[in-house]
Amino acid sequence: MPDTKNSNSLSRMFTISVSIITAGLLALLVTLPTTNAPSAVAAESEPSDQAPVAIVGARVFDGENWLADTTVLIEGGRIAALGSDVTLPDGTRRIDGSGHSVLPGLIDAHTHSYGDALSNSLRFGVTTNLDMFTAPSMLTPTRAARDSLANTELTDLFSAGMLATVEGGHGTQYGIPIDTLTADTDLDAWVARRKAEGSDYIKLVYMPYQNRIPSLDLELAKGVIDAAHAADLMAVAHTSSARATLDLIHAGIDGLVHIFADEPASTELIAAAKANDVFFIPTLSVLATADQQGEGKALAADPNVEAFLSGAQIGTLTSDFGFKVPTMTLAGGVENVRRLHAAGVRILAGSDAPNPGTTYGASLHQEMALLMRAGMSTTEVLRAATSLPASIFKLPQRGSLAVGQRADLLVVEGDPAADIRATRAIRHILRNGAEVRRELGSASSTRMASGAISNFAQSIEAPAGYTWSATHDGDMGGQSEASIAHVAPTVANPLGAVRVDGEVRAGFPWPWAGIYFGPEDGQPRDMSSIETLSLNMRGTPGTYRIMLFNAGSTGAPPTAQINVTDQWQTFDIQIKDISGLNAPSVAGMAIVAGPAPGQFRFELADVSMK
Amino acid sequence: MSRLNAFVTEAGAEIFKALRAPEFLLPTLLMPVAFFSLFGIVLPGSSQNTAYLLATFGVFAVMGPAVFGFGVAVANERERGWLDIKRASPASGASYIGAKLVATLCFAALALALIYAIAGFVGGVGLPRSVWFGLLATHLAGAIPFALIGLTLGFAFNANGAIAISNIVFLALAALGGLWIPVMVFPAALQRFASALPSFHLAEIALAVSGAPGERAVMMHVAVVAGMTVLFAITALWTWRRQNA
Repeated sequence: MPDTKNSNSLSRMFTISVSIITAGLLALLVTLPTTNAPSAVAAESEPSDQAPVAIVGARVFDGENWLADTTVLIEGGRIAALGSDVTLPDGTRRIDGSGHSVLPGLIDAHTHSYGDALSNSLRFGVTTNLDMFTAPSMLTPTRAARDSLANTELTDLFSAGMLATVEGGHGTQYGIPIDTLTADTDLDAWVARRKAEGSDYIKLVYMPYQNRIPSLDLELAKGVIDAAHAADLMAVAHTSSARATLDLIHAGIDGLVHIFADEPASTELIAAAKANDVFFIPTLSVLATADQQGEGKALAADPNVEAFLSGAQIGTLTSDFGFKVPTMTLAGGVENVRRLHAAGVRILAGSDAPNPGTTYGASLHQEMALLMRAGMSTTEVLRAATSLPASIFKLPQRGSLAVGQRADLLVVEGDPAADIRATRAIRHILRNGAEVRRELGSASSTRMASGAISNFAQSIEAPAGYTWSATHDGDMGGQSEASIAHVAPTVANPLGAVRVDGEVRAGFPWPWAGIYFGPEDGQPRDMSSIETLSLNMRGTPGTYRIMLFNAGSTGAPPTAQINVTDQWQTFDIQIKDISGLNAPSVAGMAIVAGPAPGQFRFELADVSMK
Repeated sequence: MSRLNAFVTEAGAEIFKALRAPEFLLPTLLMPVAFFSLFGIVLPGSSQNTAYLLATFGVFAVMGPAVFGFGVAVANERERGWLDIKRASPASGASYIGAKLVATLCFAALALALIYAIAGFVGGVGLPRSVWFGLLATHLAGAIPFALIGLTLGFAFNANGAIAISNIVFLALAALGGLWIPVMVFPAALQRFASALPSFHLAEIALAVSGAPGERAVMMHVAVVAGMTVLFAITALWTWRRQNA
């Protein structure tokens, strides 16, 4: 019967299609790359494998005190030695410190990170930001990056993440969805959600004594503080009046992230702040804007600052709120800081960037100058921007210069102990031991010349200024391993080769192992005149990745894949085809196996850029 | 002929029909992956959002086959009198719908496979194995409410009307549901509107499954999608009854 035949063939069509699709999907799902790591790990993970650097014979502020005629030696992204009698290893890059001062990387204790916050901050020597509310999606990549010692052009971020406020309250006006509180909110669960998102501490907004916008009431605010403490997190608060501040001091708050200026600090408030060991981050910079003091515009015109500001930074620095708030006077704020400081209450430097009249990085230098108006000495102000926030917020290996600390530091011309404005005369910024490029744009990157970048016929030495080295996730706490060895030329392969042996092992979210090529000085190179990366490779058959690192990027590294066999093959990779590569500013390149685990061995020969 | 046989034959015929007219099939398969490549990989800065957009574009990918496969196809077949023949034949209405649904799921799976492959092998998205499976299950399940929307449109409008209306519904669900651009960059009024769309809630579920940053009330979204699915099923049944009457 033709009918039956037709229906049989249709049944077969069904069975075959469904089988093919199911099998294909299963095959796809088991071969798709797996990792649960934020891609930032891979981008940031290249070890800062560079020559030691030493700043010789400088005045050094170690976070607490000044040391005269001191040498700081940096190796492997950390401070290796510090003192007046330091022996420098061969090949150390020397920075003459005479007439200069060395400071720990600065810490801005009050920022809100959006856009280019982290690169803008770093260009002014601020190497750590304590963020007081940002979109929680900022947190995951920055948490991974801040544990790394790799080269980066970004400032490290610690953050409150989302803040505690009510529907319609302060903090809800920025368009970031907020998990607002009501009297019925389970506060322990709310804090647990923040902790899961990556909040390092809890910030709440308490503005009860006004009728402009709604606010947490005292009971709810105290509930948030208690829930934060129960979860082992610090609680800090935004307040704008003396009364609200006193309420929270009694409620057990750890710190206030603004100074109030509506009335002079009472002896009762000062005594309570002292007794409860509360700290203040006055953010006088933003108070100056609210008081229309023009401090932001003055900063934007400072020749030591102006050249390094991006257009967006100039925009926020020169803007203001458009109105004067009578209860927010700079003089009132300064007076209250003076009283609290005189009583021994801890004061931290924070800018509240990017609020009007402030910007990332630069405004911290201005905040230090404003704090001096409240009677703080230059050394006290410097502590307020380095060791004090590091100890209060328990920031690991930051805020001071000592052996083993992260090599985040700045070299400034002159003596900030005599004039705090000398901190703006930045001559070098070292971040994880690598020099930070302060200039905007990419025009200043050294061009990468075309030609051979290997000379494996002789050795595994790279051309001058570059280096070939083994790379693996072991440097980041992973289990993978790689080693490289020179393969002398033979008749069959007269060009010689480098052999990479290793094993990619699970135990790290994004395992890799292979070989790295990059500039010795850690500075990005301009690859825009290079069209093709050409290399010869053979080895354990499989897919290998060629990763090119964009300078300062936190995204996944632009990657090309090659399929290697046990026979020599020439691979010509078109640079323009590598999606996402910012050719004018490339930090380095790696040829790696992984993320699939397994042993591998490959040989690489005759690598060139054309 | 057993019920199962009838269903299998019918499903085979659906697939066969689609393969015979690739000019209808290919666009619904290729458009999502093309858009995803553009928004999630090629455009500057997009490489940081690839994983996020994978979750939302997966919803977009299943929507095409579901809305068009049902909406336009059912309207066409109805108009040509094919449905009348069906109703007169011993094959049940359920096997007619079931066969279409299976075919839709097959094509939705193909569209998803393309996007997953691009995301994984080109976009550098890596997810734990269980998350890849979970995402696939979420996305495939997401085809069902859209298929019911398509079915309603197919019963309610004639062939020409169904094409036009399906397109509008399809684009509105995609754009306003935040499948192309995250809802959070929308103005507040549009954000509120998005929460009336099944595409938004499905995207939120997929985002939660994929572990995207941010906080989501997953069970609420699941409940809303389930509720909407029931609602669409009732509407589909009602339009079917109405045109039978």
